[in-house]
Amino acid sequence: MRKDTRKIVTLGLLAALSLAIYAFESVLPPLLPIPGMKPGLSNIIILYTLKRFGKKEAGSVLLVRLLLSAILFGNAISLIYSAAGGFLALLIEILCDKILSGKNLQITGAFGGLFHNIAQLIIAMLIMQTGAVFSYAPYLFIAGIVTGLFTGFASHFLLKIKIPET
Amino acid sequence: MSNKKSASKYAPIIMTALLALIAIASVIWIVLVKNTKGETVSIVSNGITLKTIDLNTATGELLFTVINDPSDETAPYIVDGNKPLGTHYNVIRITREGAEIIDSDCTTHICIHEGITDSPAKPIVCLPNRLLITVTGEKSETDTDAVTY
Repeated sequence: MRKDTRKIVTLGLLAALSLAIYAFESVLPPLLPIPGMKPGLSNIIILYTLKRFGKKEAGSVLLVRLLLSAILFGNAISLIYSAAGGFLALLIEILCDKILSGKNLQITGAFGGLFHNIAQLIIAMLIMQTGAVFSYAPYLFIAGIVTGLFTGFASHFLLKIKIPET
Repeated sequence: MSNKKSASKYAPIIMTALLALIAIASVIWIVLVKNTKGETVSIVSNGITLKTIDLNTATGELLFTVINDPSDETAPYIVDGNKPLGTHYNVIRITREGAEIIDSDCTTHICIHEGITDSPAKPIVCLPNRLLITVTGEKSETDTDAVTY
């Protein structure tokens, strides 16, 4: 019972942390003028949750972050983009983590980042009703891999930090 | 069991190689399409083409405002000149050099920072306002109209 409560509190804190990072990131000026390009730092928390707790927990934290960020800063359209990207990335990360048997988290992160951008590109094509946005694909592929590598490394080092269990 | 063990041993190498391959292919893709030039500018909103302009016949500067207010039933529509009205507007400037977005009410202003385009490889999009500017048609690099011998 006590263990359950602690887990719920920890997941709540992780969701809040992810939301805070997302909020901070959304006020940063864009690094490059490529639509849809973002550092994706809030994914560090999702990857951390996946490794520390599991699939269901990571999915829940992601869902909470998506809904809260849409209510607080976004709109229905931005929710579609971030939900598609977030869930496909998580799915791919679960798969990669299984293939890599839990090691080399940076590769998992890179694949997550890549597929996050692929999902958003597909959504952009559907919403804008044109294939022209596909011209951004190579930029978004590289950006996804680079930011994903960083996310993976960051989660790897975050997992090394011992959280005191009281 | 041994099979699974060897698979997990090579998995990181294969996956890293795959990522590197995608990155290299993307760089080649960017380099290959970089210098292509087009001559017809299309302004598309919500998937509807509102205007097409031939860059060769563009004189001086042309200004257009696209309005895509979701509460307006007639939207999206295009008007001449710089008229930032209501919500979800983008002001487009077209010269012989190409097309660019010079004003927008979106939050990030990525569309403005994207700068000027005259290339089919570089469309300008404003995701929040669902606006797309594309350049189509091949144009010879030498800028000659015709060659006679």
